[in-house]
Amino acid sequence: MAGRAPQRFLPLPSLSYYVLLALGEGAAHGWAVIKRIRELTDGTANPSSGSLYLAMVRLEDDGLIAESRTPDGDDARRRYYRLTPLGRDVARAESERLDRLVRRARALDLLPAPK
Amino acid sequence: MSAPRLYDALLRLLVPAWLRRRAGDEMRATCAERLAAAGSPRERRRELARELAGLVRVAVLARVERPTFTPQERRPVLDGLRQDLAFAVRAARRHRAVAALATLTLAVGVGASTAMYSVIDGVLLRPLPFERPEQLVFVHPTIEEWRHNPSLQANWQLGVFSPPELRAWLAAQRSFEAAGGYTVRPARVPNGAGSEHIPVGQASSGLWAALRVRPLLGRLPADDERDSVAVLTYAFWQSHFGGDSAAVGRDLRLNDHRVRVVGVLPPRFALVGADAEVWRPLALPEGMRELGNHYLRVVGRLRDGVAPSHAEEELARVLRGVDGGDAGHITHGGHLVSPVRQATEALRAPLLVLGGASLVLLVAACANAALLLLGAGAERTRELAVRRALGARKARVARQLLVESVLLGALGAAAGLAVAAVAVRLLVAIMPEGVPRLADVGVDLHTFVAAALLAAATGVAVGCFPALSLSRVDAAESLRTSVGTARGGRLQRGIVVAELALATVLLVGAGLLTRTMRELQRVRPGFAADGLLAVKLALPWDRLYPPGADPHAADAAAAAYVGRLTDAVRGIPGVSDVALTSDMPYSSDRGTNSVEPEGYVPAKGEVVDAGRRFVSGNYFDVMRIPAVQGRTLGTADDREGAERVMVVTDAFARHFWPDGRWLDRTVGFWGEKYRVVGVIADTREHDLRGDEDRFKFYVPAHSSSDAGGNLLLRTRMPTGALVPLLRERIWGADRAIVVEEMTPMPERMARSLAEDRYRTRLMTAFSAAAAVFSLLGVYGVMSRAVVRRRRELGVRSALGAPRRQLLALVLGDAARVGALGAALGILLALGASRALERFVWGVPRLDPLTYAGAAAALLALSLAASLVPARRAAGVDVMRVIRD
Repeated sequence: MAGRAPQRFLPLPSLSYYVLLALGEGAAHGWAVIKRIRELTDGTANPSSGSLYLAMVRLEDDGLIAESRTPDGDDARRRYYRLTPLGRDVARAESERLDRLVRRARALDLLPAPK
Repeated sequence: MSAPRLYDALLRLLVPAWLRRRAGDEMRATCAERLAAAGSPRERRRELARELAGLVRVAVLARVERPTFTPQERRPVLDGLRQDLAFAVRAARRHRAVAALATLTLAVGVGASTAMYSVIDGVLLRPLPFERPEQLVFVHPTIEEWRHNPSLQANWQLGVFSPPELRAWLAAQRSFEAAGGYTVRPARVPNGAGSEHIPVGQASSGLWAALRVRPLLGRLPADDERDSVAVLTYAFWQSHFGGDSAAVGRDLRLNDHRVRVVGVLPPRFALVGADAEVWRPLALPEGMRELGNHYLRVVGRLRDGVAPSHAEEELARVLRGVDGGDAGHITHGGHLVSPVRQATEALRAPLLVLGGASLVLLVAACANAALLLLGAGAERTRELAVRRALGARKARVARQLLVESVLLGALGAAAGLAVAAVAVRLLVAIMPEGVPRLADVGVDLHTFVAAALLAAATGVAVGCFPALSLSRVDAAESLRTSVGTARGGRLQRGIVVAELALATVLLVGAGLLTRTMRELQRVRPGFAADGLLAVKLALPWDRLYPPGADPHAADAAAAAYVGRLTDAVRGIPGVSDVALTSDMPYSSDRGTNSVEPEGYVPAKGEVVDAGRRFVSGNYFDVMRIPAVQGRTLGTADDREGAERVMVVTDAFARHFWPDGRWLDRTVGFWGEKYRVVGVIADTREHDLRGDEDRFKFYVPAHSSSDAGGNLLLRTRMPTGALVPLLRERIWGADRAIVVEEMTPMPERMARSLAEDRYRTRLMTAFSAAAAVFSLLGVYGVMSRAVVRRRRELGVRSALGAPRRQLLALVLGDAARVGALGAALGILLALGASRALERFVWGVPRLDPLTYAGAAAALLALSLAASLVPARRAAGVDVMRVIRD
């Protein structure tokens, strides 16, 4: 389906990208997502619950993430989210886009070569 | 407030509902977890700040980037709304009486205030129907000399131009894009058996330019065409030429002159204060002639960016130089006012007072509707509790209540529009004569929207109370007990007290005006008005004093002409006598003169001025005004060559000759000396309030032109029978005479009170409506109080309390509410009546009797309203209460 092509969502807002990356590690609820985002970004990103859920609600509407079954032994009242296949594709497409940018930056000598 | 509650409150306040529904709980939980995970209090505070700031950011982003409802969500909301509406209609049907009363109350409030403000808007506020009306101003010389003259000082800043002044200013001024002078005078046109008067304007061409008028047909007159051409107003063209476009080019006879119609003005042409039907060019006399003759009004269109103060300075400069700086010239400054304000200045205060009163009524109406709905809401606590118990969410039930209230508000507003449409017509119909711009007054939609919004807001506010209490009342609790809460009672009582207070304010106003009216009707004018017929004629002065005639010969001819006329009228069987006066009683006629009473030394700067009437020798006999000292005038005094004598009023004599020695002293006026032969009591011939000039004097008219057109007939005949005979005799004497009015004197006097009557009627109607509202309010609150206290009343009755005691219990309660409302109302009225100060006459504004009367009426009303509930209370059946 052409309309569902991952490219349609690019460039992704950074918070949405972080959410996709965080959920790439497995289903999680809000607070866990925030903790993973902090980790991913070395603490430079620390979204509020409000911002996070606004982004997640939209990602859910767009079909990039979905509610998931609560893992056994976890708090049954919380809602857990997981990546959908489309979400995974979009995360990959966004990562490739960023990779191209990084390679370009390196060619321009704006970034040292990887060690 | 704890952090989670703060977060929660802000979440509810800021975050749109759709997001809250989907993620609100998650957001709360996440926030709580984050705060719990914080290591130190300091970090916790930082995290909380981040969370709260996040909410603000979300509040904005969620609204900007996405519609409030996603398509999937819209349906249920709409369905819910439809459900609510259906439910509201069913509820309204069930509580038919309450719904009808609330609707009616709101309709009266909205209707009355909308109608009143529509009139105010139409008369006072609406701009003139010209392009960029805000640039238009009336231009006035200020006349310093008038400032110190008691009878002219009201207008000293609103002077008018004399011809040389106008010419000089028009030539020199630079502040105005265009300006023109005009004057309006009656002119005679033939009409069937006799003649009629039409107002004819004369305008310099600058007026048309300033108003940016373009003719509907033909063209506008040019300045150099002088008297030979005319343009018709649209109304005159329709009434006299049947709207025939061939009218242009035809001739029109004005005062025996033939003028050519060159154009027709557009229908919307309406210059307030200048109701001319035909306009001609303004012909100004040459040179400095008529320098002291001020009769030209001026309208100008200010240039963009020119300050009015600059234009005023310029005008003053030009006027001071107009006669080469002659110190004797009296015009000194300039003054600009907006045309609408100018024409309606006199009506401003009277109309605004009524507007204020109608606003009070609207507030009272809203209060009453609120009471009715609150009462209905209280009775429905059980129903709502059931719905809650069946699983309806709080918000859902609250929304339903709101929908119901808003529905009633909307019904009230719609009915109010209907009331307003009728009321506007009524208000216009009973308006005293002479109010400008009434013809176009219709329901003003802005006003209506404002009033309707207030009604709807009342609905919402009222809807909120049950909704709020709902969230506190425990469903189970209210199901278990059949007795309502006592808490709602206090609010309702507060509203009833407010309602009573507002009604008291209006009642005090109505009382003061009614007493004023009664005092005015009781005034003894000092003459016998019954059997007196006032006939106002316009004599053909242009024929009696043709240009270039010898003034003495013309005077003699005019005197003979008037003599023939009065003889013809006197000859009518049933007319016992006819007198003449220069100032028709109870009209705008008001002649004054500076006088020099013998032996009186004026204080420095005092202008010795008195009301002056030229009367025929038999005036005092016909009016039946006796002399209190000396004698009145007789026919012998009114002959050519008779000694110059005058009669003065008591106030005149006392003021100028406090020693009482007035007899045979002289009064100088117009360069002649008149001997005082008698004193009459102070009469009220100009208006019943006695606002006329304090001092008056009467001099014989010498049967001449000074008193020419005003005839006073002493007769026993009914007016209806006399009028055709009079017309016949008058037009038999001269067909060029215009009969302006024939009115019995008592009717003239009554008509002079038209404005007072109008005000009194409206205020009485407003206060009656407010009184009915408070009657309903007290009844409703007391009934519910009895229902609420049924158990207590039943127990009391079971314990042997006599019926009388139970009655007294309820009535005492009502009396407390009534007394509180009346007391509060009196306090308010003490201040509010200041607005009525200038309309109240013959009674003090703070008249204790009126205030006490209003308070007593309201108290009696609240007692009466609670009689039925009180009887119900006394009849409470113990067994039934216990069973329930």
